[in-house]
Amino acid sequence: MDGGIDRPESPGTGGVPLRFGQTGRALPIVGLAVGNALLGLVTLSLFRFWARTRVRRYLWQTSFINGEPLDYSGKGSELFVSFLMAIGLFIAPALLVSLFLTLWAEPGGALQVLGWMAASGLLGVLYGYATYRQRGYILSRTHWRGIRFAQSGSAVGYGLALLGYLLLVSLTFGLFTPVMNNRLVRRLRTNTWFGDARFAYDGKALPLFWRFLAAILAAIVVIFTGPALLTSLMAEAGFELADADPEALGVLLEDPASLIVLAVAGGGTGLVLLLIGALYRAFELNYMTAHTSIGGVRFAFRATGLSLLWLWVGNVLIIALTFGIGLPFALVRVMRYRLHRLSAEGTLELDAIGQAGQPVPRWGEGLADMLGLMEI
Amino acid sequence: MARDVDGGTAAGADGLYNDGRTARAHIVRVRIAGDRLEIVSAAGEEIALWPLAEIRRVPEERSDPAVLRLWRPGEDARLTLSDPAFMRALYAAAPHLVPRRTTRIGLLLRSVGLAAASAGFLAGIYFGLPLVAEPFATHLPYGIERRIGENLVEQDAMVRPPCDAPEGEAGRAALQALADRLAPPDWPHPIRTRIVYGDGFENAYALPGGTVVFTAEMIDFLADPDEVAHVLAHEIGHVVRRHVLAAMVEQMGLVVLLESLAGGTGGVAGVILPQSSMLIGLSYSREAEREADALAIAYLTRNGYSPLGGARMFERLLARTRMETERSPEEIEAAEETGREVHEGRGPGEPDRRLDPKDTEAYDKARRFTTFLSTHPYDRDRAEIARKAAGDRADFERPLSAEEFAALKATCLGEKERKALNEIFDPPPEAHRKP
Repeated sequence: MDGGIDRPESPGTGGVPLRFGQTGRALPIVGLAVGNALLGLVTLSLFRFWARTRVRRYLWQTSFINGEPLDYSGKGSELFVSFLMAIGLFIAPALLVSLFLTLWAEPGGALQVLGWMAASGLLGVLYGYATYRQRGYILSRTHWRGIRFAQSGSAVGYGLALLGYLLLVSLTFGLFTPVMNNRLVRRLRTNTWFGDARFAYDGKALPLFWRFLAAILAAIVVIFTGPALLTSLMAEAGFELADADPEALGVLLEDPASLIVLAVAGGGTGLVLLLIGALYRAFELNYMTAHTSIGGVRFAFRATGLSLLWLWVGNVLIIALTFGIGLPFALVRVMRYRLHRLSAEGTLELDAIGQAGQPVPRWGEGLADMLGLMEI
Repeated sequence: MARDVDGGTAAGADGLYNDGRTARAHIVRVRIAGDRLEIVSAAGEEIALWPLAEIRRVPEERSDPAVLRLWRPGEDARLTLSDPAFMRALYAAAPHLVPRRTTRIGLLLRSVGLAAASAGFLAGIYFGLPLVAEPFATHLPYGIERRIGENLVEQDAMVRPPCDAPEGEAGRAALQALADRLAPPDWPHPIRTRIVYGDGFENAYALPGGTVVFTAEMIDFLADPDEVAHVLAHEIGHVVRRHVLAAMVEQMGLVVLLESLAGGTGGVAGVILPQSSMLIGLSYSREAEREADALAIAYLTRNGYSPLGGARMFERLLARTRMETERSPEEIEAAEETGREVHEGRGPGEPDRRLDPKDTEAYDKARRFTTFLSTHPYDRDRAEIARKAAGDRADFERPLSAEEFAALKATCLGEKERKALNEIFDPPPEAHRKP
């Protein structure tokens, strides 16, 4: 971390507690980001596979557990080849099917309608499938202390589950969301391995559900009262709307005082809504982490609504103001946020952890790239 | 923090070794033995012997000069060193481990390679797609093309509704009859014509399977029956040579390849949702356009129709394009308001720039160059070819009678506009008629 070797705490004897660190800095990552953007430009974006690999390497090598860095051994070429494979295996057949349905099947006929429904369902499954495969690839290329991370379980199963959950979410007007999140996280965490040690998850949906419901209700209240409240507060401060008629938007947009009132009322309400979202998300992160464990270690996370809001707003600004070039820096901020706020209780018997038995995926995450999924 | 490793010399130093079997870390003694790196346990037993040539730095982006992390690619074991003297000795024995800017050079080379590959890929698309698309289109059984075409006609109708009011029947029938006359006798399939509302775009295009579509705006634009016949014959040329399907395959191939190259959700949407609306912007190769022009002239003269309609239309288009490029939209609008025809090329009191020969020559030169870059042959060249084909012949048949042409012009109009048009409509000049 600071240039030398940390002697492992009590090497070879019993369990060790875990502590986490992240030392990513703005300057190197900005250099990396700019270089990547330029190379992406001259290669018609084909450099993105190598660019992503470089960013991951940097993020990993600056992430420490007990003073020892993670390392990322994935290669750009692995991503590139799997991208080509995704074109051949998924996209080309999808194109043929869609051509068949649009150009050959009778418009509005049963074949076309059912065909499109089946194709959409398949595409839905594909999204979950690609996400899961991507995660498995990244884990398999991540080492700590010479031990690989790994993922077990079925990517198709995850894709089917995700599609089913999303249907339930739409059927329940969103109320199923916390249940879905909890189930997906359980599926992901219990299929995550550090060597032959498996992560465990014992979170329940109900505590999340109540919080989610409270957040939704709070959001509804804010949507209906926020703008009016802020407008009347502004009026007391001397800023009045030029015309009380909400139809007269044109008049309002030409009057500076009205513009200020509109901006404050709209922006303020939006910010409060975001904060409500951040508060819920912070609870969810803390809860889910607290119910995650491996060996004798149970994790803890201390996210807060305000800090999360700052992370989000800052990242949106960074990405928007740099036209996406600053994405790697936003990722460093996320990584820092995660590792600085992560802690663990209990000890891990490192001597007892052996290499994972899971097969190592040979190729990367081309399908996820095709589908525009990009975790990191 | 790092304790400096004891007794580090060129001959040996302490290191931290993860054997890749358990997460346990071992403090080890490392030594360079010939062309190998020897890793020995604290108790003195040999743990690993790594050939120097196979050792690499663990992949990293910004290296920390104080720490050296090593591995043999593909294996799980990691060795961490921090003894400066030993690191220097190791760099001397295995120069490839020095954190040089070689990685940068490698990166540059790879990028140059990728850039070249991308350029090659684009060139491959540009030259390769037509090579694939044309034979594909000409060899696909016509029944399949027609089925595709029928499908596209229905999709096209959602975007551009047909002018199918019963009052327009005479106009539609006149156009269809003209198509039947123009179609070459050795073409075994029917040519179907359609007139649609085109959202302000003057356009005529062929769909796969032999359907030729005119937009109402195009019908409006065409000044006489010869022009109608020329446009129709040109599109029939595309149909007969099966350019339509080839262009479609080419265009879709282009979209698919470029979108896949870019990746992301846009890629998938572009790939999965081919749209019929793109057909209106379908561009044929310049060769295909020349071919269709030549066929059009052949179809016209076979029926005794004049190829001059095409020449006049191209010249009209040219004058208008030129005016549009040389004048602001406001000027054009003003010119239109004062009642002058847009295609005459100038407003009241303005010099007729179109007729200044020197100016025209320079303009033609510039336009020929920009046309060289685009796919269509230059309008003036097309016009000249048509004029040449006409020669001194003057006894042409009229493709449509005055009544038929009037009916065609009225196809997409409402009842009120139809009446107004009938009152003001001027039949084309008599000089045109066969003596």
